[in-house]
Amino acid sequence: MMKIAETNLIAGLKQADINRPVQELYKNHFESVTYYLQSLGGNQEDAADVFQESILIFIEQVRADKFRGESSVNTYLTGIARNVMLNEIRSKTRRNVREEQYAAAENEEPVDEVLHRMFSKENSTRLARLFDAVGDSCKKILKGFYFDDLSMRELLQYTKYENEQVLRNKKSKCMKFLKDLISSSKELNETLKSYLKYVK
Amino acid sequence: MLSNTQTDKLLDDCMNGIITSAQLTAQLSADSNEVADKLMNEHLVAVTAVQQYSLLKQVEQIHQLYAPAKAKTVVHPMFTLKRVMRIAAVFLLALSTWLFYEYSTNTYNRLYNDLFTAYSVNEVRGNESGQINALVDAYRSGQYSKSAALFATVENPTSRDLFFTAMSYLRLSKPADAVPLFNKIYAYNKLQGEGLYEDETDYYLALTWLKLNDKQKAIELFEKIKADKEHTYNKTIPSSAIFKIKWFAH
Repeated sequence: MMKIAETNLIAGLKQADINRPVQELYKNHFESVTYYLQSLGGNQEDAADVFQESILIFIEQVRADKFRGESSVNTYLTGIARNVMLNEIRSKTRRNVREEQYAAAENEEPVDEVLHRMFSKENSTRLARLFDAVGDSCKKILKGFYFDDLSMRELLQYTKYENEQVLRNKKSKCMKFLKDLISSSKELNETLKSYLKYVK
Repeated sequence: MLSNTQTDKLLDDCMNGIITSAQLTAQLSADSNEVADKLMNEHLVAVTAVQQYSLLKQVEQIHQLYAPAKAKTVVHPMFTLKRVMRIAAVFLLALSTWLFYEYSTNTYNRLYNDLFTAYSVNEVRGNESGQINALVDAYRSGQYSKSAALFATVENPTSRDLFFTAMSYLRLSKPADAVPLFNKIYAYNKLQGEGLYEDETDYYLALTWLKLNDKQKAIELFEKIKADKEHTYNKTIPSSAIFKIKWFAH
């Protein structure tokens, strides 16, 4: 059974603004988990990166109700972090071996059945580049609508547009631009599609 | 034909369950479900990108507070303060060792011995008179006391007599007695309008001053020799010798 504090934390992670619960996760688990990760062979920087990815995976799992509180947050988070770390080590080894072998091995890149590395360092960088290209005004509108779950009327208050219709037109243009960018980025497109299949 | 904004709204509505896939296909006037599905999938992919990016940004902000500062690729400057201090210390140590060595070894006497070269008597000049030959012969045979004593018997001494007598006193370690004789060579030459033994006098008088521990007078003459490229002893004196005399002679 979950402690009250953990119940509140999980509830907080299901909200749009996750600032407070994520801070709590870092405050309570960053040190112990990264210490453990370093014992697996990672350095301090790698461990910190893996911890961030693990937090993102944990949030996704909480939101998908995959975390049921059968173990403590720390144990669960450490388990995710361990898998990510081992996956990362395996990927690196595979990369090294592949570099020494021939290109046919490229098709053998496995899709991890246990863990989706949507937030791996490479994918995070691709996402950041994508939204750098999208631009600040589009980012603000799309984030407000699809992540903060604001209505067009609410969103209008945070933007400079005259009315909802103008804002809607702008949002539509932003989406079209984003879709075009994604379709031109093969790796990211594939990652997002496989992630969608994974979470279904 | 629907506008992009209308299509976008329909896709949002379908995604949020407000309309069904069938309604979407119908309203899009799509030829088949495949077209609608394709549009819907693209829309979902784009929305997922927005959500994942926004989530990533939120977590990243907090991550910055806890994660160790990324190890920057520091290009170590060639000369850090520590390295400069180390080099300076080594340099100072070497410098002080060298200074100590030079100071302890460069006495007037040592410098004199280093620079002194025995003067070879020119045979051609030795045929003027019996007495003069006797003075020069005595000098040539190393009888310096005899050659110095013979000077008293010479009437109207020439620059040659003066020079070998002065050189005899120098070899007898009586430099103070050599000085007036060397100076007389300058006076004699001036009077006669000659330049005989003048280069030799410059050089050996400089050495005489060195022997007498008169640094300033020795340097003046050595510098005069070094400044004159045609001087007989120009190449004989290394520049380092003047430097050593200036800074270390004691």
